[in-house]
Amino acid sequence: MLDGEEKLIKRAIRGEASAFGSLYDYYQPKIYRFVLIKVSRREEAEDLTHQVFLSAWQNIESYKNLGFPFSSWLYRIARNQIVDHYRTRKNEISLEGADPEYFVATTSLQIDTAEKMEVARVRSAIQKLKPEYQDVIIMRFVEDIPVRETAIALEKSEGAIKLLQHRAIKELRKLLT
Amino acid sequence: MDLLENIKKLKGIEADKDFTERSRSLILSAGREQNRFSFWQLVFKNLEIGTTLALAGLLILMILGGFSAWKILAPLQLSSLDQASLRAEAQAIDIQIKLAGLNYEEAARAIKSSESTPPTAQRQTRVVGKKQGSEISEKTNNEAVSPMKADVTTTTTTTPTTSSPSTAISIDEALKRLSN
Repeated sequence: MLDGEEKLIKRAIRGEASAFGSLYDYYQPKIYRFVLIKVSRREEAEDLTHQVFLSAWQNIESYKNLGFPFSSWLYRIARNQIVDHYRTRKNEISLEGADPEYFVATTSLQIDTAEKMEVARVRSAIQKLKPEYQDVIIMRFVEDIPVRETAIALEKSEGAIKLLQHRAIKELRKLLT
Repeated sequence: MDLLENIKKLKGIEADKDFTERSRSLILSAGREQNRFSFWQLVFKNLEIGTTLALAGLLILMILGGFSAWKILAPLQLSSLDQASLRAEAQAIDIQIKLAGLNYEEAARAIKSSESTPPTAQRQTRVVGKKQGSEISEKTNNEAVSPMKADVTTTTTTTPTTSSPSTAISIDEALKRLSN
């Protein structure tokens, strides 16, 4: 959670764009990663990330009555955007035939090529998991989001989240072996 | 390498800086949909609607009230449009026209009669005229020749042979005689 997040959110609800800008700066990398790992294409990930924050800014007044963390609210919006995206998508690109380098969206990974290849393999494997497994792995292990916030974002109980993450890791290991 | 460590390395993925800046500026400049109004905004909005309705009602009242006010003010300003007086004036004009026409007709008959009167009547005239000289005949002739000089308001006889001197009479008297 961002320091002074509650005040920023209140100011954003009142209409201060600069306050929402601070929230954007903090959460945009997280949401972008979440979306990119799930959809695998950088252009789609950029479009969806943009839509997530645009929707959040335009409907931020509806957040104040929800009573749960701002990050959970953003992840819910992101999940819904991805679901809508897959519904409207006509052609699906097979991951097998795609260039692995294309999916490495950034060269900012400060690791060597072998590690990059390994990371790309893990990422490809995650994309083969069920959507709720993907969600819990990205939120719990990539972003280190607490169980409570993950549960709220995925609209499940904390116990269900713990069970899901265990099953997700198990399934991922199977895919990587 | 540990799976979890590899998963954690995915945290290094970042969006393109150009995209981030562009997206941020677009979102913040997009504005928000104002679905809710503050208390004062609601008050002012209702005042604006109320004022508009009140002015519209006032305008309608003025338009409708103007017709009745016109009727009230009309007798003072447009007395000349009183129908009774207009009728009287019109009738007076008719009388005058009839009188003028009557005078002309009488004069015309007088001219004809002077041309077609029998010799005896003419001799008598002449005889009378002889004694008195030419004054009377001239007088007679003058009267026959210039019918239009007769007074509009005067005539008392319809006989073409004799001409009587013109007398002024009132419109009412003339009306009575015409109606008789």
